[in-house]
Amino acid sequence: MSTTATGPAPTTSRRVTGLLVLVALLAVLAVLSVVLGSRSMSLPEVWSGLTDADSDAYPVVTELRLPRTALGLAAGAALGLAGALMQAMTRNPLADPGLLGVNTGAAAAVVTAAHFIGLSSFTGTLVFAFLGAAVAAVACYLIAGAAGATPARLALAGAAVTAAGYAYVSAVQLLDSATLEQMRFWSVGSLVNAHIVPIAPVIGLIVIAGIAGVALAGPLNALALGDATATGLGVDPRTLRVVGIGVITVLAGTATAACGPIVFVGLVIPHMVRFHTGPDQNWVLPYSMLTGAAFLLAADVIGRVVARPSELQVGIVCAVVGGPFFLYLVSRRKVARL
Amino acid sequence: MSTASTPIRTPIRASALRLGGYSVRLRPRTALAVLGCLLALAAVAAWTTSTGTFELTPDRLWATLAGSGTRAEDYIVWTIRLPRLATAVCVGACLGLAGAIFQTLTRNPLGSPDILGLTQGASAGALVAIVVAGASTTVVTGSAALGALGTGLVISLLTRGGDPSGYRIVLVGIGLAAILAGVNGYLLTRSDIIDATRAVFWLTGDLNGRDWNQAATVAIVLAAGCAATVAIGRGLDAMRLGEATAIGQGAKVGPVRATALVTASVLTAGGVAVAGPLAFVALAAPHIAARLTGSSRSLLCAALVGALIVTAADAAAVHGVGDRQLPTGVVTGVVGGVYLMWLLVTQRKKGVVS
Repeated sequence: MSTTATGPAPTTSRRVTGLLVLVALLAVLAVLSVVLGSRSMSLPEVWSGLTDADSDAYPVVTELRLPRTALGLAAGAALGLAGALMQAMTRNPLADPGLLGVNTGAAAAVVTAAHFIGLSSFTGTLVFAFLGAAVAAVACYLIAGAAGATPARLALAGAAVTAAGYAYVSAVQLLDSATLEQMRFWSVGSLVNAHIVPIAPVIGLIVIAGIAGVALAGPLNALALGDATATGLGVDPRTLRVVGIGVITVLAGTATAACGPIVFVGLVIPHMVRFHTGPDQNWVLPYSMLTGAAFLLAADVIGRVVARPSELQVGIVCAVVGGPFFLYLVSRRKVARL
Repeated sequence: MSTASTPIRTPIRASALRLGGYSVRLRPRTALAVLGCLLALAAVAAWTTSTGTFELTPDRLWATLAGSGTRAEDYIVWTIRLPRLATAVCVGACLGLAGAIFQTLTRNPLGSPDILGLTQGASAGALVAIVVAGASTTVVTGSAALGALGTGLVISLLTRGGDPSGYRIVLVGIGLAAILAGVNGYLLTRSDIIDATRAVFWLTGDLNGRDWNQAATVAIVLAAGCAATVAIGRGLDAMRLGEATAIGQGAKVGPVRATALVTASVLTAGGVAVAGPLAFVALAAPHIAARLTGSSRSLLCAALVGALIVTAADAAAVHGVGDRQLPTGVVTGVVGGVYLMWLLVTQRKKGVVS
């Protein structure tokens, strides 16, 4: 078997069709996400919930399900895109947004806030998580050698920061079981708090960073040929890395702060996408964004339906449903490399 | 994938030791690094066996080791401290060696059992035993070993076949790791807080209260792993240059890859089952060894660095923060992580090894 992607060459029309299918799928999933839940509603009920402020369904639809759907879409898109960017930038298939220390940074900040400051307000936790993610990402970048960072050094620095941060988090958890109680649910990843997440700033940040991220496709394509070739093509790898890390941090930091660490989407979705699109970032990035959103939303809906009246956290469903599907793809198809 | 290192090296002075048809290349710097690791290991070992709540002076330690200690000294040294030390050394060496093999096999600097799902497999085994069965420590150990071995088996089954690239191992590994992490998260959220505390404690990894039986188990695993590694050493070395080149050099890539995968899985299973998934040892040890030796080829040095990280971390864990001991796994993450960061920062200009 050849080691690069051969098979039917991904043609433009095939990719455009795929994109349209994804958008349609997103629309369907968004509707399902509003309709399905621990309390099932008929479509007319949902409609009255949307339009009629006096109906029974109104609070459920507008205060719970709509924010949850919006957050699922935004977080999924952010994580999918951040993962694709991270893998392109480090040129490493094992890289996920968490590798910049984003997840551990967020977790460390949440633990610190919960244990030492006794912070329990959700918005406060969210701000702390975001700041922690940003600090960790900057630390990774500096340790990797700032402007002299190479992809491999970046990956290693990320792994080192993650390990040290993780050790800190588990130490605090072990010393304080109240923090553990709070953390073991946050650390699985869930959309259940969507109704108290300040949804407008979260979505705003993700949209801005998302646009910036997709715009990096061209330079990243050049970077795929190596730093030297990229420089020859007029792309400064250093600037690209700084911008990329900034974008990834905002995307993944926001999503992680709001939903907890959902590793699967950022790590695996870009690989799934590459099976269909090939390695061209112009396609990989938007595809990863849409597939991430669709996947997270679908996992959330499944999690709500299978365990009624309680629910399974979206992070668990992602891994348990998406994992086998990914293995199936890997074992059947020829592998599309970065 | 182009994460491969850029070999900008000063001219290497090396001689070879020849014996009949075989030869071993001797690099002074590698030998120095190995010697340095051994000395550091001996120093940490002496320190950790003589300090703690029961202090021993060097001459009393020596007397106890020589067999002329008092009953209290004998008990402290031979029943409590030495088994724990032996376990730490063997577990660290197992993890360091496993990490080095995985990184060679996948040709990826992040290819370690932590990221390829073996650790998660062991954790899943242990969590099932703790949360579902409420089992004893021995059962948890066995269950964790089974989990890691099972994961290794699934990886090798799914990567069997024509494609000789390490890339597929990487993809299958992250897929499995994701699934198992999901399962672990599920078990953790479904358990009550007492089981959850016990589970998180296991997931952190600890060496407290290890006895000679456990040390012997890991030592046997380590010995078997070393033997297998020596047997496939040449093939593994050739595979650093890529599968095609390795085949061109006459290495039997298929069997070497299969053996390497099994060996690394067994080493991981042995280490993790006894000590829990000590964070970061398998990932960091080969990189630290590469930076010490100036070459990423010394598996021996990787194993020694692994042993050193775990032993030093365990010594620090025993002393703990204030009057509370910490689990070893908390400290390995800090020790390995901080040391690797320091190496990355200080060696920034030199452009050595990935």
